[in-house]
Amino acid sequence: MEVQLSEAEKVFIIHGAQEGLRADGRGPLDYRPIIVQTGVLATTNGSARVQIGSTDLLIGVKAELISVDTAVYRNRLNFFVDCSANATPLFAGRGGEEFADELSAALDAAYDNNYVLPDLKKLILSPMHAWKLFVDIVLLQCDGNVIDAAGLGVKAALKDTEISKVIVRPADEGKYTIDLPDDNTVWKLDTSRVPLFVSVNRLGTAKIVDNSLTEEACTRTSVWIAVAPQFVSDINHNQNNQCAVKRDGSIITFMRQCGGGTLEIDSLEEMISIGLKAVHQLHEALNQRLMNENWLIEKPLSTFLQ
Amino acid sequence: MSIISEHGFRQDGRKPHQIRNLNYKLGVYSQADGSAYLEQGNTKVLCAVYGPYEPKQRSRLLEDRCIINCQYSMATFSTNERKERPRGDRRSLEFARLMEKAFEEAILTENYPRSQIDVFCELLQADGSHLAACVNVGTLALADAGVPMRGLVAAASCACAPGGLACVDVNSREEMGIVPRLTVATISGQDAVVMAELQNRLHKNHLMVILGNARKATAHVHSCLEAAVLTHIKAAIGLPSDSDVERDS
Repeated sequence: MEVQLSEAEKVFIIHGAQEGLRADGRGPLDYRPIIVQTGVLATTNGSARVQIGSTDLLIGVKAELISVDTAVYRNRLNFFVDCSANATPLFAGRGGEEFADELSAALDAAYDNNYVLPDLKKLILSPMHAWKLFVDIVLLQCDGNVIDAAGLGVKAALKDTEISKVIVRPADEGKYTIDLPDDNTVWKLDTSRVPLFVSVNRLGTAKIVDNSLTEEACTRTSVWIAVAPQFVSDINHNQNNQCAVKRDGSIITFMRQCGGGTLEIDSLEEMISIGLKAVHQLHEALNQRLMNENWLIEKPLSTFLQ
Repeated sequence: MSIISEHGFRQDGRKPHQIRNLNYKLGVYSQADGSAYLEQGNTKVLCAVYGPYEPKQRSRLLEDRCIINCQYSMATFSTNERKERPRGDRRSLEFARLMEKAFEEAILTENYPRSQIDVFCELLQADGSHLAACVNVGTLALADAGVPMRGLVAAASCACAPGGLACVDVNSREEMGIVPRLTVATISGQDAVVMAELQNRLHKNHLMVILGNARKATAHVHSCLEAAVLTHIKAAIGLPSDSDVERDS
């Protein structure tokens, strides 16, 4: 998370970005190659691995059955980010906790509504039992743009998540017991509305997405935006499943400025439009990727051996 | 249930003296000076080595040799029950100190005075023999970083079944309750023991049997690690290698 650049190197990078050319030859709105794999861990209900350039994240989703008073229970995802020291020695011990808290706070805020995951209500099983979903992110390698990778990985891991179906029986004294059925069936979450993150960064007067570590050192300020897709059927409250679903717009579930510096309203609006354009492409590419996975060829459990 | 069935096999089909399959990858990450990934059965560990570099804390600096800094971290999703914290508990600190002592014996520390070498292990999936797997992946990462060592540090664990029978390379179902477990690390799979950790109570008559079997298991592990490093070096300098044959033990 720390790159020492001289002033001349920063000037070179900023002038290149303002000319529409970056140090690795990308344009302002280009992403580095993104690799997404799901089902990479055997001990989780859902898992994913995301690489953007050299940035590498491992995401695991675990479902735990807990006993709570579900009337007052906060039915949300629980995010935990662990900055592994594999990324940089600065993360040894408790060094990465500040950055990890920043990431998990952003993810918490983006998912803190009833729109993005409609299946959250199915996690409530009885007045005293509920599934609790833990989303754990391990940052293995850091080459900039961790928030975009986290957004992609969380959506892929939630898509992969399988939760066991359980039988709820009333017991004595108003209590309930939980049993597992014999056929061991599972159900999956509806992830069509899950948001993705994009980080738009100001380098001089240029606005770029997917900044690498060297570009992060030159960035004056960034805006993190989480965007969830919106469908026609949502607007019309159309219950007819035969209706063709068409993407009509998007809902911004989270926006935050990171880093110092001030922003003009015009610059902020331009950054938002750039972010929305980028995140639409991310949504389409990720949905296509998650539908086209070929398990036999890719061997996701051996993802680190490839 | 017992560790060994009446026919002499364990639950995963191994004989008592057999180790699990080792799958490896060296040079996983380019940003670290050395990195390695190791699967010992279903135990999966990722390791990164940084250094030798100048330490930031001057007080820890040693004038005649370098200091080894190890960190052991378990991902919260690595076990079947979710862990609350990846590191900072007593067990991870104990494992880190044990690894530091083992690597200090193997690394030629006097070659790098006033320096520091960091070894960071991240356990991605836990299925027993965590300390042994971390030592093995650490030595692979140090070899990838080009740190000169007296030999590859090979570690193996050994459990004592009822009756004094030794089972090497235990998995998580065999690491249960009061079964005595010994983890031993040797240099080059030979006689020099650089790390020994014993959990639970063990009769003294069984100790030499367990120790002998653990040392034999480290010789097996060392042959796998040596083949891994040799294959990696051959691939790096362009020689033909039998990578697919040598990859699995």
